Amino acid sequence: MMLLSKLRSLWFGVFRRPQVEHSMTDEVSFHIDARAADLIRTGVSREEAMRQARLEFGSLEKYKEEIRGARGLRLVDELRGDLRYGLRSLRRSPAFTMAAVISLAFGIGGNTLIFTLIDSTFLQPLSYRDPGQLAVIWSAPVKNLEQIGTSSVSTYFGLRNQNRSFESLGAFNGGGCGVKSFGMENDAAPAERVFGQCFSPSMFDVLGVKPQIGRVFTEAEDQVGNVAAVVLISDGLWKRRFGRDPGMLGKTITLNRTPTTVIGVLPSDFELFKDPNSTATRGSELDFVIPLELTPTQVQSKVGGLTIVGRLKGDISLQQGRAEIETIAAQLAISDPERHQDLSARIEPFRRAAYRDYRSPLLILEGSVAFVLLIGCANVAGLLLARAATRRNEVALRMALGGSRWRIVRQLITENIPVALLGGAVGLLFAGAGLNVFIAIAPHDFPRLDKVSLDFRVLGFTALIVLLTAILSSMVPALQIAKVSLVESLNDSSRSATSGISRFRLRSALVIGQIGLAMILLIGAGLMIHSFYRIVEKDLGADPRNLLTFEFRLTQNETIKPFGRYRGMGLWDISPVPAQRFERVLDRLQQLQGVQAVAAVNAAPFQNQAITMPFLIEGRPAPGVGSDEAPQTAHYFAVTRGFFGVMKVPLLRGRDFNDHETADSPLVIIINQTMARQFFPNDDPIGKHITLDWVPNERPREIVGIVGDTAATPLQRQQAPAIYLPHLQQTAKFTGPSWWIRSGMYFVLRTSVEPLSIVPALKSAVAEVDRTTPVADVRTAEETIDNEVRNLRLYMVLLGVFGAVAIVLAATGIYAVMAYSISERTREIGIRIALGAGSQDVLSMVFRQATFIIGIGLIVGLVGASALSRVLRTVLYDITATDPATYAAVSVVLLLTATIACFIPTRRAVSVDPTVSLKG
Amino acid sequence: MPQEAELLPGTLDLLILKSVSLGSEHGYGILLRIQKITAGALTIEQGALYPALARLEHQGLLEAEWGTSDNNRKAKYYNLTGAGRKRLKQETERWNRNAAALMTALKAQEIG
Repeated sequence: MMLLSKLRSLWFGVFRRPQVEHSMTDEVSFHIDARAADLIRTGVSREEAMRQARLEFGSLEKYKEEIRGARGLRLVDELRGDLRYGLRSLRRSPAFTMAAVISLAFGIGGNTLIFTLIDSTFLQPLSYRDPGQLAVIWSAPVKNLEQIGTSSVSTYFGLRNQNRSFESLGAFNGGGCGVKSFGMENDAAPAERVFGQCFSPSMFDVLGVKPQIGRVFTEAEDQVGNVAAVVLISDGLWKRRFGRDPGMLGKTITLNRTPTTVIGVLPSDFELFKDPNSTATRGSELDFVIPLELTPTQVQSKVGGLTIVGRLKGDISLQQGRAEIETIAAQLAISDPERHQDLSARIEPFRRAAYRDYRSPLLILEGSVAFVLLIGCANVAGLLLARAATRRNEVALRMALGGSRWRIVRQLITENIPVALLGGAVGLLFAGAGLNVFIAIAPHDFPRLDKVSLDFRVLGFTALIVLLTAILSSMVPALQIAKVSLVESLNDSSRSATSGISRFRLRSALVIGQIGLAMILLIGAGLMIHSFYRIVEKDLGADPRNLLTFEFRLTQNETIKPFGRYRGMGLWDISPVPAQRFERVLDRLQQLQGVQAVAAVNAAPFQNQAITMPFLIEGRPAPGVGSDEAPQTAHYFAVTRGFFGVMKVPLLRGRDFNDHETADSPLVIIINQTMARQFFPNDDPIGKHITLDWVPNERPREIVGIVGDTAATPLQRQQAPAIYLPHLQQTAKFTGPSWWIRSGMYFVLRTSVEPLSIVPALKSAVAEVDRTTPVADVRTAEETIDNEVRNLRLYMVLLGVFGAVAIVLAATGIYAVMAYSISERTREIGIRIALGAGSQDVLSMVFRQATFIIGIGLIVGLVGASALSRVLRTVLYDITATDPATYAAVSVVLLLTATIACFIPTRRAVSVDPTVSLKG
Repeated sequence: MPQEAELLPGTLDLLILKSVSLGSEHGYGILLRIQKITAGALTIEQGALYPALARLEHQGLLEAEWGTSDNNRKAKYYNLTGAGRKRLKQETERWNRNAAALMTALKAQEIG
């Protein structure tokens, strides 16, 4: 209540000031007149009465001022005056203004830019009901709780049935069921590839998502082994294929050749983070949601695949939820060891799970722009310190007249606000431009890219930063000025060296800080640039130029039939149809114009998709079962003939597969060099036999060749061993949810023309063989590689820009401090020259000073960078965070920049004319 | 004539609140009232009244509006707000308690 009244009072004081003043004067005059009237009534003369009334009242001005103070107007007046002074001094010294504004604009602009990114990912509310209550539950091995992964159906059911902390629990799975081919009945167009999710019906409750039109599916429609053919389509798909026609409700579309009824449309702001199991894909939007489609085999399986999401009850905390699920997991491990042994459950807030990949880089970027801001503030602080000399007398006088130190400091900070505001305005321009550039070069799956914009929240943040900047940059000068002693300044000690020296020391300290920060930033940028360069130049083991790839995948029904169980996972019968189809497509494609050679492989090249296959080497003991030893595994590739030729992978020893390797001929296998080195260090692998350890009744395969290593992805940190089979010699059965690798192949075509130019011919050629299976994800290998490194490139560019800005700002700081020092010491230099010092001596004097500052700054920077090196480790590949070459290169850059910065002041020092300088 | 006493800090506010509680009044009238109810024992420089009035109005304990005085001149009249009434009551009780405690202490003949 009191606050409200005070605010209203202040409001009137600021915006209705003339009225307030009038009112004050009127009231006071009334009082004096009334008193005088009373005195007149007692017989005093008019003039005498007025005089006495005034005397009794006391000093008019003093009380008026006290009234103003009581209404809080004094503060307003003081602030207004300080601001006006600040503006005036800006106009008077345009050089200072420009330098200060530019110094601050980068820092403020950069912070605004990064904040916008952080805001749209981590701060803005997710589009679900009460998102703070949402949590994601993972499974993780008890021995290594960091290795979180998806959960088995059994875990999901167990948690769902036994928990008491969650209002609702749901699961989704994008991996096996999220990629479908989509078509319309009676539609002449070839099938299109769409991506979606499989939801348990409870997921809609958990997320609080309601369809735009239609309804969500019910529990009855998602029973194990009995799933209704219903689908909810996304707003995007609805718009794209059906023009938002509400008549679509109830119509039938074909998903993977199965007629499916559209029962609803998802809201336009529906979003879901990328399922960790999902083999899709770059920048794919969600097109549909179907029921979980659990088969009895899956229910029995111990293998994961489900991502569990829960909505905690209102009064239950995350901690309590965590305790409960851990208990349930432990109980399951005891009651059902076959499926749950050695597994525990982990829980984390939904948002953290969604944006985990971006946390580290965004933090690094935020740290960088914070540095840039600090460096900019240090520049302004230095400039203000230089101007401090002229203010000394004024300040001393104020303090002598009773002003408090705090008042002085507040005044200096307030005067700085106009500069900071200007810097903020320019900074916003920078941020806006930077944002446009960012959106252009950012990877498509950067979260909520379409929502990234400068809005009011961002402006509010910028305003805060502006205030902070004003305070930071004037703190040092303000405190220094306020320390001024009365006697010293009133004695006109402009010639005294003492305060000049202390100012110089302060400025030097600021510059050392600037250099240190700039170094840290530059080293970070340098490391990223170095890392990126190494990745891009890395020999991938295969030639990605003029290489076109596409995915050709059949449906689940066409590929597998349940057979039984093996080692806790479902065992499937693999149909021979897919392999035959692949061969026919291969034959047809070989006749295409512009194609030099074509082959196919079961895992998308350079996208780190291969599964790991355990194996046994003939004549060697199997690795201990249940021991802590890692099982013998290698990346598993099933290829058509001619694969190595198409990819230009060198054959190092032995022979390639030939045209006669079929299911009936002797089983052969090719290994890569890493596999040869790791498992056959002392003998020749050729001729030895390997047995895969995946399904029952595996037969041994003879190693016939060794090929060069191929990088799984440009970003791989370690080369893995790999085995290659002729795809026709794969087993007739397969186990586990990774059966999908048997359903499709990635065709690779080496072209003699521009790869993308043959796409139309490609599509019709494939359609000749198979109308209903789409040609999906057509792209060049170079595009794939580019996508893989897109994130890295983005961070590198940003960090590089910030680093460059930082070093330029720091260089300005060096220049300013050296110029200041030399101008302060002009008299001294003049004396020395008059006493016979040559330019050599003057130079060495300047040199010593500069070396000291730059040297300490360099050391601070190097030490700081190595201390912070851990932070960068997650975004660096192929080099250590303390890579000496980078550190050395950056140091050289800094020394060069610093030398250039010192150039002009040094020349000025040498050309001092003693006669001029000694005159003072 | 009772001894004139220096005004203790904070008591001016209380006196103002008390006088205004007796009825809406302008600044000069409040001054006269204070002189009357303290029987002239407490003196203040006249001008000092107004910063106090401004402070109380700023804090929402008094509200003011312009009106006409008995001699037809424009004057600013003050009223107690609800908050002001509450404050007056609180402060009065506090003063009574303190005074009573002090009186008891000063009357004590011996320890214990």
